[in-house]
Amino acid sequence: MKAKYKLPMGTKDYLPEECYKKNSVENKIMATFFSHGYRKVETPHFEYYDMFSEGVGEISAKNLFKMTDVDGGLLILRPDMTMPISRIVSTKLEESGVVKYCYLANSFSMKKEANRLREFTQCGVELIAPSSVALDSDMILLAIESLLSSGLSEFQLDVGQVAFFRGLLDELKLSKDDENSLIELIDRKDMLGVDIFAKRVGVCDEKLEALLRLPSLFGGVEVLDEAMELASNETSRRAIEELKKIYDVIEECGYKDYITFDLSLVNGVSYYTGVVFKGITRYFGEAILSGGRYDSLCSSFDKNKPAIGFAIGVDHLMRAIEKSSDINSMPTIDYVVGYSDDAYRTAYGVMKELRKRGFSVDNSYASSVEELSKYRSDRNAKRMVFVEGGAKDVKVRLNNLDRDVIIRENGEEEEF
Amino acid sequence: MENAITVALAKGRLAEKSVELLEKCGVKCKHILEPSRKLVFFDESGEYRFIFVKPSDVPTYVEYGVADIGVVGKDTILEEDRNIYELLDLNMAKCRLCIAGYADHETRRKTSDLKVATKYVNVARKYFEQKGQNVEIIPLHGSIELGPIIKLSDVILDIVESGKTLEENDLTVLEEICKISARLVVNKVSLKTKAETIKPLVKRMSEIIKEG
Repeated sequence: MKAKYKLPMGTKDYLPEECYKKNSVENKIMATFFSHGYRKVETPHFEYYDMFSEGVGEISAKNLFKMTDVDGGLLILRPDMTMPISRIVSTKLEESGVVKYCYLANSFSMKKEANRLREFTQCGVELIAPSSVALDSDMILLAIESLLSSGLSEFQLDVGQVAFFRGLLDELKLSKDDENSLIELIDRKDMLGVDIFAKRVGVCDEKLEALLRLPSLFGGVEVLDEAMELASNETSRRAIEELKKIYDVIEECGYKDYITFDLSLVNGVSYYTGVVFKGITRYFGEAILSGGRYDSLCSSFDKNKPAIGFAIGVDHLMRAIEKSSDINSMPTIDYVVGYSDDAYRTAYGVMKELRKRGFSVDNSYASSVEELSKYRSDRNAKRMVFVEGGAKDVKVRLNNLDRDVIIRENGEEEEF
Repeated sequence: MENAITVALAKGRLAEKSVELLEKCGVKCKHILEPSRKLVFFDESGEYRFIFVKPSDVPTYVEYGVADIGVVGKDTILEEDRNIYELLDLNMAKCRLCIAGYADHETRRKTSDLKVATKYVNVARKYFEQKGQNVEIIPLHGSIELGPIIKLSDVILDIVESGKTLEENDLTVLEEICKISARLVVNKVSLKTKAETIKPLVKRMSEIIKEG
């Protein structure tokens, strides 16, 4: 194939069947958001680079799609929706108080591997409100309900608290570069690497033990007790206490089976400030949902607006659902209609009436019964109606439409 | 077998050592080393499924979750730089990642147009970037030692086990970058969603490694 007809790597077309399935999953998730009082917003696909120059969460500024503006200014394709929504909240909303926004949007990230989507769809929510146990629990419960509504049968939310690690980091008093190397090592659960690192920078034995045990602090609620033993400062202790309370709330609400913990979810420690969570399932090798509390993001706009939110990666979720259960296929069309060359007016009346009655009607443009039959089987339609020529101003009654019908010149309806 | 744990093993000597370790952990899989044209194998219990892949592909299989766990050298992990868990140092297949060349090239290494032949292109780029040295990296896939001999490059960046190959070609280790050994890598999701199988296996492995 000629190169000019190919798609750039990391992009894809959604043909009708796949597009239908994707939209139906998106609609179910958005309906869940709406039913919780979230209101949808849309923002431009491109914005100024400056706002994103520090990177966003796990996406570094290096991986942004960049373009130049007419005046030479640098523009980027948005890498996610959290930053644009923070911009709206910080610059366009006068009132303080709770804001609940949701979105369904495509975002962009430059990736080097061919089979990574560089344009991807996310459904997500942002809740601008200060942290409390009830509020953060409510957000986690919404994440669970959203995934349940999508039709995914088996999943868990892996919950962490970056303040636990932040407390430990503050005690270590490392340089920024060392902090970043340590974050990377913990994120990979590379205990040997942590050990070598600790010896290099000179970490005391007690702290070293905490660092070495951190990567294995994952599993059921019991890891919180283990973490508490390691917490040697107020910030870390408070973080664990908060997680325990959140767990209690979720248990009381009947969703504890969906919750596991991992205190080494530290990758977003420079972005998130409190509870963090990832949705995972045995049907897909990467997270399908990612979220957490980010109280300081709006401070880059000189506003103090604490917030929490999450995004569902629709493309990842789709692949998991397809493995775990059947997604509803595209509904078949109710009627296909054909007509002889001079019968369009009558046929139009028939189609209009059928559509009025709530049926889906597909004009086949076929001018013979044979053509219509072929079209019908191609489209897998439920019924077909053929209108014969000559009939003018006949009143079509459409009485017996639970079978395939030919409408004769005189308006009589005959079964095939 | 549908819920089997998939294990990606790097073809070659490392696979033999991995199987040995797994056998010690109670996974009956000796038979997978017998010559065969099959690509996929199961252990006796059917709890584990094995695939043999090119070493450099192990991190990829594990990142995407098509393999839940894998055994691969730290050199490959560094080069591939994938988003995976690196749970255990298996303390086997030990070697060093080094810069090697002719001893009298010591002075040339300081110049800006140093030519480096290597299969570890990403490692080389990062290493010299950190040193603040401009280099020309020449990607090769085998017989790296030839580089300086036929003057394709000034030095090589490669793994060194005993150093015999270097010695026989009058080359020496000029700098050691880091120590290398085989690692147990795990997919970030599988560790949690298949914890009931993977966690005990990891525990057993680390006990056996400690025993030596």
